[in-house]
Amino acid sequence: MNILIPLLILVPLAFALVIFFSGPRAKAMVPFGILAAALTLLLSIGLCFQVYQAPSTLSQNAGAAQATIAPKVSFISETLRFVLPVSVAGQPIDWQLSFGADGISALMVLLTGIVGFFTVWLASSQIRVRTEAYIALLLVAISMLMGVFLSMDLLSFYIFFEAVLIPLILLIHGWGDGKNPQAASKRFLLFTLAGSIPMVVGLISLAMAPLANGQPSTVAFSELSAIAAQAASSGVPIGSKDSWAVWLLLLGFGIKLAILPLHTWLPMTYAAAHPNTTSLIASVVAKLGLYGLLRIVIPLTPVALSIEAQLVVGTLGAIVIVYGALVALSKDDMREVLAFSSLSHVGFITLGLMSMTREGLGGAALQMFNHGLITAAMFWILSMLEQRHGPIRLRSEDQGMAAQYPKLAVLLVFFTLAGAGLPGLNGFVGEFLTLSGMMRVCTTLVAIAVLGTVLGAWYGLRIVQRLLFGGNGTRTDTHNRPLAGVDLTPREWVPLVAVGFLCLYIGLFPMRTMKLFQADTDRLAALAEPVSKQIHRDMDTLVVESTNP
Amino acid sequence: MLNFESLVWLIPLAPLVGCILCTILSFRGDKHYAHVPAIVSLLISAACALMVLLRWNAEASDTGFQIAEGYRYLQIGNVDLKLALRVDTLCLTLLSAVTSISAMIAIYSKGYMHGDDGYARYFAVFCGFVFSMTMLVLSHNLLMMYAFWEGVGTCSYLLIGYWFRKPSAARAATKAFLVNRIADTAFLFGILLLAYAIGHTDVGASQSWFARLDFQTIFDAAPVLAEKHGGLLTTIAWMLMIGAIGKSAQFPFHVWLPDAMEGPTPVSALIHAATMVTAGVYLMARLAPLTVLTPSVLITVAWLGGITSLIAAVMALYQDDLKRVLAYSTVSQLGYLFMALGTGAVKDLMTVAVVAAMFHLVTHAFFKALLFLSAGNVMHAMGDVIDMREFSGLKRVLPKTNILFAIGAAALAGVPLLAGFFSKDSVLAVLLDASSDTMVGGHFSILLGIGFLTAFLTAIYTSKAYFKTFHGPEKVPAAAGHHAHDASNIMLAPMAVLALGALLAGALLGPTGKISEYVSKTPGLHHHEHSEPMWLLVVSSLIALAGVFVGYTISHKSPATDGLGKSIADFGRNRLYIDWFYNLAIVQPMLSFAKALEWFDTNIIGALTDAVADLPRIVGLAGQRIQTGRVPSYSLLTAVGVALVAIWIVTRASW
Repeated sequence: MNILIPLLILVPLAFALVIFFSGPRAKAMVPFGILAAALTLLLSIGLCFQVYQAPSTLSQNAGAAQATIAPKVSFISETLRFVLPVSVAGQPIDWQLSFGADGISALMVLLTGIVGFFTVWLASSQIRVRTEAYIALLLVAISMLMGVFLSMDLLSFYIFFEAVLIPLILLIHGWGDGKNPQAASKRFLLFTLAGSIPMVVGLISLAMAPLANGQPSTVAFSELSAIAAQAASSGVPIGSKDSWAVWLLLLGFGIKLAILPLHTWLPMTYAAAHPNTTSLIASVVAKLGLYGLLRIVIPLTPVALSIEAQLVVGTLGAIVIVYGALVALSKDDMREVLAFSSLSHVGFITLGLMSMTREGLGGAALQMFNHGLITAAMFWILSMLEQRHGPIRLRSEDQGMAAQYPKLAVLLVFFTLAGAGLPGLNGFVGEFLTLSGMMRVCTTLVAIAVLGTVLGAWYGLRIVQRLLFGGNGTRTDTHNRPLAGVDLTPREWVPLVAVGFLCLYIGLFPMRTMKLFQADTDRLAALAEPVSKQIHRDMDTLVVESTNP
Repeated sequence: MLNFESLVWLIPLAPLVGCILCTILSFRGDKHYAHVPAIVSLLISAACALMVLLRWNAEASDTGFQIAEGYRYLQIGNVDLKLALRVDTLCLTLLSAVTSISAMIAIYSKGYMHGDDGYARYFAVFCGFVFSMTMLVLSHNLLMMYAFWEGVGTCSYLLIGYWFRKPSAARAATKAFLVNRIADTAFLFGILLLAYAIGHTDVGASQSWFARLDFQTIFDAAPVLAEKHGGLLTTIAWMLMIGAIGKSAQFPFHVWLPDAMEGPTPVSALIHAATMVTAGVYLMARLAPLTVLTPSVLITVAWLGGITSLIAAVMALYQDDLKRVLAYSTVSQLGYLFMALGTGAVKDLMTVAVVAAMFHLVTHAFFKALLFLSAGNVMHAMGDVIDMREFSGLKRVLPKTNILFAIGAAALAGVPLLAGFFSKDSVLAVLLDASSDTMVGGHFSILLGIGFLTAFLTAIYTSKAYFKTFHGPEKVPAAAGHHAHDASNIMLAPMAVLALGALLAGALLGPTGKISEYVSKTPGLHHHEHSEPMWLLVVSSLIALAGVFVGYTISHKSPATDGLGKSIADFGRNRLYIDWFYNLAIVQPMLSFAKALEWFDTNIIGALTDAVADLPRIVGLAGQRIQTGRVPSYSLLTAVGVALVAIWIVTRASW
C-alpha cells in the first residue's frame, strides 16, 4: 500500500479547499498555495524515486505475466469499489477501483509536479487579481491531473479525466484576457464534452469485453491488458464491436489531443487564456489525449487499432506537424504562434505512438515529458513578456528586445532551439525516436514529418528574429513612450533556468530518464509490434529481446 | 603520458571546458579575461590533435581505425547508441587543420574583438563551435555526426547573428540556419532511410537500429545494398549528398554563405571559410565506400561542384565588398573539392579523388583563413568599412597586412610553388584522369574545362581585389579617422603562422606524396600510384599568371557603364538573381500557402466545427416551440409520451 499516491491527489486538493474556505484571510494565502505546490512536487519526485527502485511486479505473478500494464507501486483500497445492483449477461458489476504508477505514470506525475509548481510560483507575480483563487483552482487542476495519471482503472481514469475540465474552464473564463475568453471557454467545454461522450461509450465497451469469455466485467487496466494480450497472441479474429470501440476512443482522445480537424478549440483557448494558465494546459492537459492513447487504446485494443486506425491517425499526425508549423508561421499573435507550434509538436508524439514500435512508444513517452517542459517554458516567457509589453505581436520586425532583456533573450533562444529539435537538448531525442519508430512502419509518413523540422526552425527563428534581434532596445510603444525595460527578476528566471537544465540533462543523458519507463514501453511494444507486423507485412523487424530486469 | 584514448577525448573536451568557462564568465562581470580559457583550451586541443597525428603509426591497428569509447547515450531494448570517437587518418588530417587554425584565430580574436560588449559570449560560442566541429569529425556513427552537424550549424547561427542589433546580421543568421536546415532535413531523412535499408540486409538485420549507422556497419552493408536494393541506395546517397552540399554552400544552397559575412571577421575566417563549410566535403569523403557504389550521384555532385565553382567565381568578380569577394571565392573553391570528389564515379579513382579533395581542403583552410584575417585587419583599420570603392592604396598604411594578404592571394590565385598551386593542380589532375574514362569521361572533360576557366577567373578576382585595396592612389574613408594603423602584434603573429602554412603546406605535402600516402591509409580507401603530367603544371601556372595580370590591369579601371559589360556586371553584382529567384519562387509562395492555410483554419475548419457545435442549439430551438409553459399542453404531451412507451413495452413483450 503506497501512501504517496493518495497524498499526491489529496494534498493539493486539501490545500485548495483550505484556501477557498479561508474567508477574509484568503488574500494572505498565496504563500500557502505555493507551499502546497512545492509539497506536491516533492511527493511526485518521491514517487518517481519509488518507481525507479521498485522491482518489476511481473515476476511475482506468473498468471499476470501477459499484462502489459503492470504498476510498480499501487494503492488499492477495498472501500473503493463500484458496485451496481444489476448484473449484465449474468455477471455482477463489482468493480474494484485501483491507483498505482508504472514508469509512464510516474513520468507524467513528475511533469505535472514540476510544471504545476512553477506555474503556481509564477502565478504569484503574474496574476494580479484574485491571486489566491487562481492558485487554488490551479491546485485543484493539479490534483485532478495527478488522479488521471495515477488511475489504474477505467472508471477512476474517466472521472478524473472529466473532472480536470472544471477548474480549467474557470481558469480560462475567469482570468482570460485575450480575445473573448467566454467564447473560448465555451468552445473548450463543448469540444471536450463532445469528446467524452464517445469516449465513455468506448470505455464501457472495454469494461464489458471480458463478458465475451464468460468472465466478469472489470475496469482494472492490468486485467484488461492481460485479456487483450491473450487475444492478440491467440490470434482471435476481432469482431465489429472492437473496431467501433476503437474509433469511439480515438474520437474522444483525438479531441483532447487536438488531432487535425478537431483542433480548433486549442488555438482559441490558448489565445484567450492567460499564458500562465496556458502553460499548464499546453504542457500537461494537452497530453491527456496522448496519455489515453498510450494507456488505454494501444494496450487494450491493439489489434483493432492496428487494423483500423493505426495509419489513419498516424497520417493525421504527420499532416498536423506540417499544417501546424505552417499556420504558426503566418500567425502574428505570439499566443497563437505558440498554440500552433504546440499542435505541430504533438504531431510527432502521435506519430511515435501510432508506429506501435519500441522506439516510437519510448520516444513518444519521453517526448510527452520533453514537450511539456519546453512548451511550459515558452508560455512562461510569453507571460513575462506580456507583463512588460502587453500583447506580443510579431507583425513588426526588428523589435530588438535582446538588448533590453539579455537574460530573457538567452532563455528564449535556448527554448526555441530545444523546440526546434537541436541535438544535445531534449527535443531531439524524442523527435528522433518517434521518427525512427515510424520509419520502420511507413517511410512516406516520415518523409512528410521531417518537413516539420525545417518549418519548426523557421517559425521558431522568426520569433527570435522579430522579437529579440535587429534593434538596440530603445524602442517606444505605440504611444511613443519609451518602453520600460526590466530584465528578468530572480523570481522569474529561476523556473526557466531550472527547466532549462532539465532539458539539457535529458538531451545529454536521455538514458537516465528513459530507464524510468523503458520496461513499461518495452512491454507494450512486445505486444504491439507483432500485432502491427501482422498488418504491415513489410515492416522492419528488429530482434526483440525481453529487457525486463 | 596520457594514454591514447584520453588524448583523443581531450581534443573535443578541452574546447568544451573552455566553452563552459567562458559562459560562466559572460554571466559574471569579468568578461575581459574570457580569451584566456578559450585560447588555452584551443591550444591544448591543437596539441593533442598533433600528438595523436604523430603517434598514429604506433597506435594504428590492422583495421586502420581506432575507437575511443565514451558513454552510452541511448538504449531502447537492444537498440543502443554509444558516444564514441573514431580515429583514422582521414579524420586526423582534417582535425589537425581545424584545431590548429582555430587556435590561431582565437589568438587573433583577442585583438580583434577587444572591447566588444559580448566578448565572453563570443569566445563561449567560438569554443562551442570547435567542440562540435571536432566531435563531428571524430564521430563513429552517422547519427552522432548529424547531432554535431546541427551543433556547428547552431554555433554558426549564433556567431553570424553575433551583432544582433544589426537587422542585416539577424536576417543573415536566420537565413543561414534555415537554408542549412532544409539540407539537414534531407540528411536526416537519408540517415533514417539508411538505417531502414541496412535492416533489410544480412549485415544489418542482427544489428540494432543505431548500431546500423556505425560507419563500419554502413561500409559492410553498402555492397550488399547496392546489389539488392540499388535504387534505394541511390536515394539514400542523394539525401546524404543534399546534406553535404547544404553545409558546404554548394549550388543551389550557396546563398547563405555570402550573407554569413555579417558575423565578426574571425568567425568568417574560421567557420565560413576554413572549417565548418568543409564538413560537407568531409561527409562525402567519409562515406566514400558508400558513394562509390552510386556513380550517378557522384556525377551530379561533380556537376554541382563545377557549376558552383564557376558561378561563384563570376559573382566574386563583380563584388565590391572585400569580404564578399572572399566569401564567393570560398564557395567557388569548395566547388573544386566537390568536383574532385565526384571523380570517384570513375572506377578506382575514389582514393585519388579523396586525397586531392583533402589536400586542397587543408591548404585552402590555411590561405583562406589568412585572407579573411587580412581583410579583418583592413576592416579594423578602416573603421568597419569593407567596400573596396571606399579605399585604395593601403600598402603604406597597412604594410604588414599588405604582405600577408599578398601571400594569401597568391596562394589562392595558384601562383606557382605556393600552397594553392599544388593542391589545385591535384584536383585538376584527377579531373584529367577521370576525363579519359570511356563511360563517363565526357562529363569530366567538360568539368576539367570549367576547372581551368574557374582557375583563370580566380586569379583575376583575387589579384583585382589585392591591387585595388593595396595599390594605386592612397584613399582612406572618413570612418577610419586620422590614425588608421596596422594591426597589433597579437593579431599579426597568428597570421604569420597561417602565412607559413600558405607558403609551404603545398610543397611539403603534395609533391612529396605525404598526404596521399597518409590519407589513403583510411579504411575503405586503397593506395594507388598516381602521377600528374608535367604539362598540366605548366598550363595551370600560365593560367594563374595570366589571370593575375588581367586582374592587375582591370583593378583600377572604372567598371563598364553601358552595353554588354554593364549588363554582365549587374548580373554578377545581383548574384545572378538567384537569391531573388528563391525569394520569388520558394519563400513567398510558401508564406502565401501558410497564409492560405491560416485562413482555411479559421474560416473553414473553425466555421465547420462551430456549425457542428451549434447543432444542439438548433435542436433546442426546435424544441423551444413546445415549451409553452401551459400546463394543459404539458399534460397532453406527457400523456402522449406515456402512451408511446406503453405501446413500445407491449409490442416488445409480444415478441
